[in-house]
Amino acid sequence: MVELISVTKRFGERTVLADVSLAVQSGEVAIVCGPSGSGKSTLLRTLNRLETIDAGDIRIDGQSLYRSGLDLRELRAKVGLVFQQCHLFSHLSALANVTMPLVKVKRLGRGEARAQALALFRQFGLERRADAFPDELSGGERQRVAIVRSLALRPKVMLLDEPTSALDWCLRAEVVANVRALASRGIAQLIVTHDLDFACAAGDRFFLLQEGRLREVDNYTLACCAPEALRGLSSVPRGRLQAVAA
Amino acid sequence: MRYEVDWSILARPELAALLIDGVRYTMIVAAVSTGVSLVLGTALAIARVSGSGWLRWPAELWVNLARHIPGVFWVLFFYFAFPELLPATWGSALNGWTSFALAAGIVALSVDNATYVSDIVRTGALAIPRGEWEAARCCGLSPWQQWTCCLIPVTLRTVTPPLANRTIHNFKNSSLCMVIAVPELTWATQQIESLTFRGIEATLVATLFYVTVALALGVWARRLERGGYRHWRGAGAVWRRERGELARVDSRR
Ligand SMILES: Nc1ncnc2c1ncn2[C@@H]1O[C@H](COP(=O)(O)OP(=O)(O)OP(=O)(O)O)[C@@H](O)[C@H]1O
Ligand SMILES: [Mg+2]
Repeated sequence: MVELISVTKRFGERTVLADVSLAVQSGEVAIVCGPSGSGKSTLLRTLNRLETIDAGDIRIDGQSLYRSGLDLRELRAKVGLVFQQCHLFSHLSALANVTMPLVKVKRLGRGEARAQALALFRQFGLERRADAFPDELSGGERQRVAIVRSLALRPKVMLLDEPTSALDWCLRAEVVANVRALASRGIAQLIVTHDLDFACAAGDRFFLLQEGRLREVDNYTLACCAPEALRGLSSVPRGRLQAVAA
Repeated sequence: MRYEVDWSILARPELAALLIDGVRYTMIVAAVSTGVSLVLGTALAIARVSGSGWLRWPAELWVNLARHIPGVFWVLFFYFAFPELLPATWGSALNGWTSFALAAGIVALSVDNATYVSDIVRTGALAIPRGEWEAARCCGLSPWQQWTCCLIPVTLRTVTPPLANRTIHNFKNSSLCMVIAVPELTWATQQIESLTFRGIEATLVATLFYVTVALALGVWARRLERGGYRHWRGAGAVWRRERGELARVDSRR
C-alpha cells in the first residue's frame, strides 16, 4: 500500500532521511519512534508530497508519487495527514472544519456532509463541542477534530503525527480502538509517537528512526530500548538487548 | 475685511442641488472604486504570493511601479491620455461618452488603491501560519478553493484594520476627481465658490460630510474587528443553520 524505496531527504547540507525503505500493507499499523528532530514528521510529510525527496521513490497503491500526470488533489484526499500541531482552520467551527472539505472535495450535499461529520463527532465524543471554534477547544479536542477531519474524507492511508500527545489515558484508549478499527477496515496507517504504551497497544510493526536511518524493531525492543533511543543515546546498552533477547 | 458667514446661500435650490449631486457622485466614486480595488488588489496579492513566477513577477513589477505614481496622475492619465492610446474611433467614442469623466475617475482610483490593498492582503496572507496553508492542501482542496475557503477569510480577518484605513483614504481620494470635472462634492464646493464668491459655507458642509463618513467607516471597522470577529468566522447562513441544529442536539442531552 505504502512503499518507500531508498528515500533520501536533505534540508540544505543536512540529511534528515538517509536511504529509508519501508513498506506498510493495507490494514497494517506501522509505528515510528525516534528522538526529537530525527525527521519523523518529515517522513510523514514526504508521503503526501508536502516535502519532495532528493533520491529514491515513494509508491502509494503501487503508483509512484513522482510519476508525471499525478493528481495531487486526489493523492491528498487518499492520504490523510493529521499534523502534530493539528492546524485546524481557525475561521471555521469544529464542525465546519470537517464539513467544508467534504462539501468541496467530496462534493457531498451540505446535509449529507453534516450528518457524516456529526456521526464521527459522536464517535469521538465531540458532539458537544461541534460549534466551538479552534481557539476555544482544548488540545485534546483539537487533536480529535483534526483526526475526524482526515477520517471524514475516507482515506486509504492515514498518517498520524503524535496523535496522543494531548490526550488523557482514557481518550488514548479510544484512539487505540479507533486505530484498530481503521486497520480492520483495511486502512494502512503510519503513526509517529513518543508514547510507548500507545505504540505497543496500537501497532503491528515498529520502527526506530535515528540519525536519518530507519530500522525495524520488535515491540519488546521498542518498549525496553526506545527510551534510550528517544533520549538520543547513540547505542543501546548490550546487556539490555541481550536480556530482551533471552 | 472680514468674511460674513451666510448659511442662507446653501438654501438656494440650484446650489443645494450641486451639493446633493456632489454627495451622490462622491459616494459612487468611493464605493465603486473601493469595491473594484479590493478585488483587484486581492488578485494581485494572490499572484504575488503564488508559486508561479509567471504570475508573481508581472504582479510584483506592476505594484512596484504603480505605487510610486501620485494618485492624481492616474486620474489625469485615464481621462486625457488613455483615449489617445486607443484607436482613433474608440478614443473619440470615449471622449463623447457623457459619463467618461466619472468612469475614468473610478478606474484611476481603483488602480491607485489596488496597489495598497495588494500590499495589505499580501502581508496578511504571509502571516497565516504555514500549517494552515498545508492543512488546506492536505484536505485535497484545489488552489482556488484553498484561497476562497481558507486563506482569504483568514487573511481578511487579520487585515480588517489596515484595509479599513485604506478605505477611508480612498474615500477621501475621491476628491481628486475634481481635476477632471467629475461633479463630486469637492468640485461642487469650488463650483459654488466661483458662482457666488462664497465658498466657505459649502466647504464647511463638505468637510463635515467627509469627516462624518470617515468616522462612521472607522467605527464600523472597529466593530468588525471586535464583535465581528465571530461574525466573520461563522459567516454564511449555512453554518448558522448548522449551529442552530447543534444547539438542539446539545439541549437534548
Ligand atoms: N522546512 C525545513 N527546512 C529546514 N530544516 C527543516 C525543515 N523542516 C524540518 N527541518 C529539520 O529537519 C529535522 C527533522 O524535523 P522533523 O520535524 O521531521 O523532526 P521530528 O522527528 O518530527 O521531531 P519532533 O519529535 O520534535 O516532532 C529537524 O532538525 C528540523 O530542524
Ligand atoms: Mg514532529
